[in-house]
This record gives sequence, C-alpha cells and structure tokens, in this order.
Amino acid sequence: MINFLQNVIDALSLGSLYALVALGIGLLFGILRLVNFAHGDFITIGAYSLILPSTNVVATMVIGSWHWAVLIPVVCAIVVVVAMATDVFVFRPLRRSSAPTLMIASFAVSYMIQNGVLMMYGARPKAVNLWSALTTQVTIGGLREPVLQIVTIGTTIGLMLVMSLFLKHARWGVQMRAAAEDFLMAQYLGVRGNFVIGLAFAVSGILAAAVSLLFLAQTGALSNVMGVPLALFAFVAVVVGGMGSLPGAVVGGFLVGIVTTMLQAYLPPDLRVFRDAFTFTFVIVVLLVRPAGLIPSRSIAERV
Amino acid sequence: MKIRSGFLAGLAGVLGLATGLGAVTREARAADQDIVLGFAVALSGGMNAYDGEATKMAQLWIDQTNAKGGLLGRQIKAVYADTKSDRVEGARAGLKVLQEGAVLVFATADYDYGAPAALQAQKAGMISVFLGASDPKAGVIGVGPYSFSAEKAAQLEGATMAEWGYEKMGYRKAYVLLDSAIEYDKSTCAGFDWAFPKEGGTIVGSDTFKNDDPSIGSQVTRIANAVRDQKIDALMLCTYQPGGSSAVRQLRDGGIKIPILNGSSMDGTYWINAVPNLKDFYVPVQAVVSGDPMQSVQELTTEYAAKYGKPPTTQYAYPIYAWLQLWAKAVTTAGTTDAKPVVAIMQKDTNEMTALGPRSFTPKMHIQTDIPLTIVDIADGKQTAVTQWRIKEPIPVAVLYRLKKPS
Repeated sequence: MINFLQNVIDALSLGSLYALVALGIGLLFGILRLVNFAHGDFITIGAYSLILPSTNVVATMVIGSWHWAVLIPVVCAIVVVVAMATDVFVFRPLRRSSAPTLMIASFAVSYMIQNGVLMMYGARPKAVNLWSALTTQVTIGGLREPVLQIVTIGTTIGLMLVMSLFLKHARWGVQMRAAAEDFLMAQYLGVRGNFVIGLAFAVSGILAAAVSLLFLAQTGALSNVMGVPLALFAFVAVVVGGMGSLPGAVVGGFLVGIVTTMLQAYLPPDLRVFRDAFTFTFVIVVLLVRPAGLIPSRSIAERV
Repeated sequence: MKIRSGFLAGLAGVLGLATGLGAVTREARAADQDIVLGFAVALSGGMNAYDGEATKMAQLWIDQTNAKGGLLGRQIKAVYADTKSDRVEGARAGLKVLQEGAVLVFATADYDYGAPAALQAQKAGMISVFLGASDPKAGVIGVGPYSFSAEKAAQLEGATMAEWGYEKMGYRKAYVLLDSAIEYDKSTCAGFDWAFPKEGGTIVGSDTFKNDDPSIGSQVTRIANAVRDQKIDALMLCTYQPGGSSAVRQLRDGGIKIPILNGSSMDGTYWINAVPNLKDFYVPVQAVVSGDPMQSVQELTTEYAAKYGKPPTTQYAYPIYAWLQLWAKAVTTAGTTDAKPVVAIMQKDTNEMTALGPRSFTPKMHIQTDIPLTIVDIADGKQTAVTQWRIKEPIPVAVLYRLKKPS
C-alpha cells in the first residue's frame, strides 16, 4: 500500500510538470491556433538563464545563486521577454498565415534557440545545484517523500488556481477567453488582438519559467535540448485533453504523467523498455473513443 | 546559334574541369611532401563534447612527432572537415579530407555518428580510427578491415566494475539500472551482467529508464525498496550525460546511498555540481585527468595543459594518443603509410606498450577488449584513482556483440 502511495506521488509530481507545460502550449493554441514547439525551448532558456554564459565545462551560477524571492521573478521576466520577442519577431508577421505555417515557424524558433544555446554555452551538458534544500525527504508513516515533489505538486495547483481566477475574473483574462472563443468577434467588441496574444505569450512564458526551475531542481542537468521531451509529452497531453481546452490540457498532462509512471512501476521488467509504446497506445485508444479529446473545446469543435 | 552557344559552354566546362584537375594534381603533389591526416569529426554541434578534446590530443601528438622530425622523414599535416554532429555531413566530411590527401581518417567518437566518415575511408582503401567509439562494431565488422577504434569496448567497462566490485569491495548483491537510450549503455550493462554472476554475485533486480526521461521517480522507489528489503550492496548504473547526472541526483535525493558504479561516460568532475556531496561513485577509465598512477599519463596531461591552457575534462581525450603511437610504430616498421601493410603490423600488436599502458589488436578485434583500467572514485568534488584492474578472462564474442542475453 505504501509502495502504491509512493508511486501515486511520483506520478502526480511528473504529471504536474506535464500539466504546467501542457497549459502553456494549450493556452497559445486556444488563442492563436499555434502549436508552439518552441515552448520546450522556453523552458531551456529559463534553466540556462541561471548560469553565466560561457563555454567553460563547469557552470558558474549567477542568477541561480540569488535568493529565491529574487531569482523566481527574474527568471520569469527573462523567459517572458524571450517568449514575447518570438511573438513580435516571428509570429506577429505571420498572423494571417495558416496553422501549419505557424507550426513550422515554431519549429524554426525551436531550432534557433537550441543552436543558439549550443553556441553560447558549448556542447557539453552542464550541471548545477539549484535549491538543494528541496532535495531532502520527509517520512510520513513509512512513506518516503521528497520535499521537491510536494513543492512541485503544490506549485502546480497554486499556478492553476491563479490562472483560473485570472481567466474568470480579471479584465485581461476575460479578454483572453473571449479571443480564444471567437477571435474576430472579440476584436469587433474592442479586444486588442495583438495585446491579448502578447499576453498569452507572457503567461506561457511564466509557466515555462516555473517548469524550468522545478525541473532543474529535480535533475540538476542542463542541456540545449532539455525542454524537448517535456514539450513532446505535453503536446500529447494537450491532444488527449482536447485541443484548445485549458482544463483538458491540465487533465491530459496529469493523465500522461500518471500513465507513464504507473507503467514504469508495474510493467514486467522485460516490457519496461517499451513503456512509451504502451503510453502512446493508451493515447490512441483515448482518441479512438473520444476523437476530440477528453474535454473538447467548443470553439475548436465548431470549426472542424 | 543555340547549338553553338551550347558547344561553347561545353568547351568552357571541359576547360574549366581540366584547370580544376590541374589544381588538384598540383595540390596532391605539394601534399606529397607531407603525410596528411584527416579529421572528419564534429568541430561543432553536440558531438563536439566528445570529439573536441580528442582532436586536440591528436594535434598534440602531431606537434610532438613533427618536432621530433616527423614520420618516415616527412612532416605530418592535419586537414579538417566539420561533420557538424550530423551523420549525413559525416560522409561528406570523410570524402573531403580524403580528397585533400588524407592517409588516415579520424571519425567521430561514436559508432553511429562516426561510421559514415569511416566508411568513406574504407572505400578509398585508407585507415580510419574512431576517436572514442565503445562499440566493437566500430572496426572490422561494422566498417571494414582498415577501421579501428581508439577506445575500449563498453562491455569491458561493465565487466571491470563487476570483478573489481566483487573482489575488492565485497559487493555480493547488485541492482542494475540501464539507460536504454543508446547502445553504449546496453553494452556496458551487458559486460556487468556477464561478469558479476560469473564471479559469484547476484543481480537482484534490474530496471530501465531513458536518458531524457524528465523523472525516474518510480525507478527510485523500486530501488529504494530493494535496498531496504534485500540489502543490496551496489547499484550498477549504465548511463551518460546529461541524463546521468540527473539520474544520480534523483537516486541520492531518493535516499539511495549505496555505492554507484557506472561506465567511463560519467568520468570527470564537471557534472558533480548536480549532486551535492556526492561520494561512493566509481567509474573505470583509460586515463585519470588528475593523479593517474602512470607517470606517462601525468606527463601527457601536463603537456596538454601547457598547449591548451587547461587539462582535459574527461578520459575521452586520451585514447587517441595511444592509438597514434601504435599506428606510427607500424608505419615506421612498414616504411609506408599504405593501409594494408600498416594494418597487418598493427594486428600483431599484443600488449604493445603505449603512454596509456599495454594495447592489443587482432585481425578480428580493432578495439581494446582486455586492458587494465583505472577505477576512479568521484567524491568531494575531485577524482581519485583507486586502483588498476584487469579482468581475469577475455570477454566472449557473444557478449561483445550482444548476440544473446547472458544468463
């Protein structure tokens, strides 16, 4: 039983990360119909922003050594600036382009960021020790619980609450929802399109920054493609949850995290190597049963 | 008119080609004076992390040899082509250095990435050497009879850790955690799986993960339980960077304090920031960057540091130096750089001494499968050489090519 609980917490912790990434991807898709493959690279930038840009093999922490109360807003600001810059320089000129064009453009952004990091920081992966205080464990009745997992799950729940309050009650949040529902109509009613889209990029930047810090505290390893697997699974989560639906993205993220962890935990040893194949089989089954995802978005369904 | 202009264009083309050929012959004649070594390696991109320092080490060897009067009375000249860490570019880079007259082609330090360039050399009848591929396929079987790897087989790393762990450290029960992302890791664990039970040890359990898995939470849970319930002595981890440091951090954070063994891929201290207060972490290497038990290795490190301003980061810089020594010896004996006689001589090398210790080749095996390795303890932010260890019996071919699962 304790073993099972342990696995559940492992699963929720991984699911939290996926959910946060999926939320960032889902948000942009909802408003812009942009499948942003560069989202994973925003996470990479958040992580690399902690260290001194240099090709030295040993990483020197700069921002990473600051107090968390300063560190978190600074990293968020850096990722938000990068995310908004990609909007201004890449996606805004392509505003009237089709969804596939936008997606290809996001691939280009992703490729540029990855190689830019490679050029600035060198090819060798780097290592940092972020917030080692979080890597201790608490034992609750035989349950070994890393503090970081609790913080990860807590942060995710907190960020989701803030986001749903923002989208429900704040003026800008309502505008974002309106734009996601019907972009043209929202514009007719006075919502400034570019502003709302910029805002969506900023919010997805904050989510990416949060993931980069939680992820880095867990792994301690930096590489120029570190965000890619997260974004890939989160994208799958968005599809499972229902393209364009934010609750769907969250549910999908948790589901993918839970399924992956549970398969790893309970598959027989010989089959564990094929864990991802089982995960994707599960995804296919979900999509066969509910082609529009678990919680389909109304506005997307109408367009299809 | 049209025909005529076409004819003129054709004539111009032929003339141009002729001039071009003339230039090539002149270049080839100029190169006649020098022995040309071609680096078709990753000068940029992700693989540069492995190729960069080995290339520098080879340059150091070239400088030293030239200073001593060269080889066969001729100076050695290096030519370069960047594979950009891309397999398709690799073939092109191999071709380019061959066109520039290379008699020896250096390929990227990985079988998959280096093979395209090495195959070009094989096709042209030239010798190729992988800077650090750990797969026995990087040689006769995978490329051809003129291809070598400067490294040791990954299976030797796993087998060495198993024997040393059992005999010197008294490990009796081990758990294996395999990073199934690349073949190198599978080969390292295959070596351990072969040697540890042979010694009398028990592999209590095994698990897998993938290098880019964001979390190995459930593996940590399972191993922690096994450590508690089955009293495991050591964990054999087969992984590489960056997933490797992430895995070690998660294992230690998960309360798993037993000794961890890994292959050479986790050598170096550049990554240990990821794991605060790391200790009981052991890897086998061909050369220790700081404090190698062999004087010749220490001298090499000093010379490297004098030339480049800092010592190498990992053991992967060193093996090419020993290989070049053997190649030069064979070239001197043969009196030529032609592949056939040189390879024939190199294949007879048995425990031939180099700066890194004894090295051997056979007509079938162009990679080291039975050499003493230095066990390194990575703790308190530094590497310490523990001991040298040579496995007792040769690794079977079935294990080297992973033909069947060792039982």
